[in-house]
This record gives sequence, structure tokens and C-alpha cells, in this order.
Amino acid sequence: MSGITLLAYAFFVAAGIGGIAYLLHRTGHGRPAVLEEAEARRLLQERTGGPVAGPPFVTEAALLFALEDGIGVVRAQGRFPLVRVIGKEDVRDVQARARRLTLRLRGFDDPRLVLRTDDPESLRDWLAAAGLAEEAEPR
Amino acid sequence: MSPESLPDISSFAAPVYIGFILLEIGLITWRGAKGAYETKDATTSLAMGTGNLTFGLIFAGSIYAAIYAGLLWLHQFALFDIGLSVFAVAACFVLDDLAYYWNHRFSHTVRWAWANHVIHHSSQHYNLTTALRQPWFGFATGLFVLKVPLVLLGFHPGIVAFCASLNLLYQFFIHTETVGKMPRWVEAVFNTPSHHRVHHGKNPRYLDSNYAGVFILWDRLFGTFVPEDEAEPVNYGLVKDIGTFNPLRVAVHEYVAIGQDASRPGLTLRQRLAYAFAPPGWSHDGSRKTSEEIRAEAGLPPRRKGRAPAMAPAE
Ligand SMILES: [Zn+2]
Ligand SMILES: [Zn+2]
Repeated sequence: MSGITLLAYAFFVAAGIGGIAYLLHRTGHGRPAVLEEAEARRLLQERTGGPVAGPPFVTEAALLFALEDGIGVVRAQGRFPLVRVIGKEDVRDVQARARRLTLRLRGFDDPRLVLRTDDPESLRDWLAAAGLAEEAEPR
Repeated sequence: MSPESLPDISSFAAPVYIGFILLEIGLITWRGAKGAYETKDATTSLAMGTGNLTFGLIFAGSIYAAIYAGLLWLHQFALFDIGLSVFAVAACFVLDDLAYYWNHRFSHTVRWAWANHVIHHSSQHYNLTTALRQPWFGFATGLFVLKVPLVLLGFHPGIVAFCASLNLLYQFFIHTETVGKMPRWVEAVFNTPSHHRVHHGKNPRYLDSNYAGVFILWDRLFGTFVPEDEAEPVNYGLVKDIGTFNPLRVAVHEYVAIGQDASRPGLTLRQRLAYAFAPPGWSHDGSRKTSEEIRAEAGLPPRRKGRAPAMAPAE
């Protein structure tokens, strides 16, 4: 195959991928999973093998549950919920932005947990109570 | 025509792939066909396919050329001079599919090979883009040695490569939920969307089954066949799903995990090697589960012992 043909093929593939992504976006396939509390709790219980008590901390696309050791997270990964148990040792650091907390994690296949909320201070306090973050600065 | 001039069909079938993906999206979106797409997931799968093609071209002149040259050298010791004919291609296609079965089976039971193949299973979706979610460094498994018997039998490496390419093209079309079950005789002989959906399942009863490329007969023969049960819908993906859509992370995450596990302090050499070559899920302290252990916990019989599921009637 000549260089020109290969280049044309590369352009065709790139345009194809772009076109498919655009079509999916326009036809509503980009919406993340909507997480119901009961379902999230059930999935987490399935993972931990024990009951999960207490109300969750609700953020935009993730529900957080306090566990005996660390937290249980049920978050949207595309259209599906993804369940994770995160302990203090899994967290590299916590970065705060307006309306957003990012937990940088040690897992290579799951490098960060982005939590969006209207009340980042409460979220930070909640994470601190679970041992995963420092207390928020006094308001 | 010489065996060397046979085309690499699967690598240059992008117009076919794109056409059928658009058709599947259309059927799902506007015709209510079964199936699901998600923008980031599909884009990642397509990026993985592009990476597979790109790295294939990058290594074409070096690693793949060396492997091909090695097979060509072995070909001089072949038992028979089979040559190039329709019969030769047909026979090679069947035997290459048998080699594919074992390649695929090792890819699920040896972690080093799984690190390569896990990429294909890393989506929670099952659609035509999932077929293109392919690894970038396939040669690293070393499983190309499974082609050696074919070459020693007398099939020219060019024919073997052509058959492998046809095999991959066939498999593209079975990654779909829009097709239910095919006629009984097709389901009995061929790998179908239904059989391969089961292969992509993380439900305990579906784990480690249906390794076939084209002919499901191999699974029936070697005791790894499991029919799709409509009463238990397939949950696609990994026992522990990955949490990233970043193609670079998708491509190497299991290699990184092997490196992290094998370099833990305080392990014996045997344990370090086991982290690379034991079945996925093996751990020195029993803190993780292999798929056999997951199946046992769910009260299911071991896949390779007991009554062979291959004896189950065709659906
Ligand atoms: Zn597989
Ligand atoms: Zn597949």
C-alpha cells in the first residue's frame, strides 16, 4: 500500500470515528447513568458482602457511602454504574476546585474520582470524617 | 497469485466496519432494536482499533516481519507441500480456527496473555465497536507459536495470515445484540452473536466459556461451551471493570498491574512468576479470586472437570 493511500485511509478512519462520536452525541447516547440510591446500595452490598448502613452523600454522578474502612462509591462510567471501595491508602491527594473535588487515586485503571457538588465544603468534611481528606477550611 | 500477495482483509475493512456500525446505531436509535451505545465507550473502542492498526503498521517491518520470516524458515521443513488452492485456504481456515481457540483459551487462563486480551473485554457494552476494541501489542503474548504446527503441516505463512485475517473479519459481525439467535444448525456449528455474548459475560455461569473464533464446535469438543440463557441476561465486561476511557490506560493497564504485583516486597520468586503466568485473579494471599473460584463460590461446577458442558444440546 502506498503512502498516499495509507494517508487517505487514515483520514477516512479519523473522519469515521469523529462522525460516529458526533452522531452518538447528537442522538443522546452520551448521557451518563442515572443512579438510584436503592440500586447503588444493592450493588455496593454485593461488592462488600455486607450491609451498607447510613444515607449516602449524593453528588452529581456518584453516590458515596461511609463504610467501616473507607468509603463505597457508586458512580457513572458512561451508561453503567461502577462500584469501588476506596480506602485511605488508595488516595494520592484531593484537589479542590469550585463545585468540584478530585480524588487522585493510585489505581492505574481508575486514576481519579471527580465529584461535582454545590456544596464542596460539606463533601470535604464528609470525606474527612471517613478519613480520606483533610477538613475543609473554616467557612 | 502467490500466498504472499493474499491481502490483510481485516486491517483494511474500515469502510465495512463504519458502515455496519452506523447501521447498528440506526437500528438501535430509530428502530428500537436491542443493543446499546455510549459515546465515550464507543469512541474508546474505535480508538483502540485504530491503535491496533497503527501499531501493526509500525511493527510491520520489524517484529511482525521477523515472526513471518521465522515461520517462512520453518516452512521449509513442512511435512507436505500444500500450495495455494481453494482447498488449501479452506483447510487452513478450519485448522487456524482451532489454533485460534487455544490462543483465546490461553488468553483467558494465563495472566500474561490476559494482559493483552483484557482490552477486548474492557467495555461494559456489547456492540460492533466492541469488536474493534483490540490490543496494540499482540505479539507480546508469544502465542504466535500456535501457528507453527500449521506451517509445519505445509500451509504457507501467507495463507495462515490470510485465514487469520478472515477469521477476525468474521468475528466483527458477531459483536452485536441486535441479532438474537440464528437457525439451529448455524448455532450448532458456528460462533454466533448469541454464543459470543456469553463469552463477553461476567456472570459467574458465563465466565471462561465459548472461546471459539468461527466454529463453536471447538468449545463443544473441549468442554467450554455454554449456551446463552434468556433467563439470565449477560452482564458484559470484567469481573472488576476499569474506570477509565483513556485509550493509553486501557491498552496497558493489566501489564502495569502485573508489574505492581510482581514487584511487591517480600514475595518468593515463585509467587512473582505466578503473578505473571497463573490464571488472572490469582494472588499470593488469596485476597482475589480466579474465575474458577468465583464459579465455585456461586455453586457452579469447575469448567474443565465434571460433566462436560459440550454435551449440552445445541440451542
Ligand atoms: Zn475473550
Ligand atoms: Zn469478542
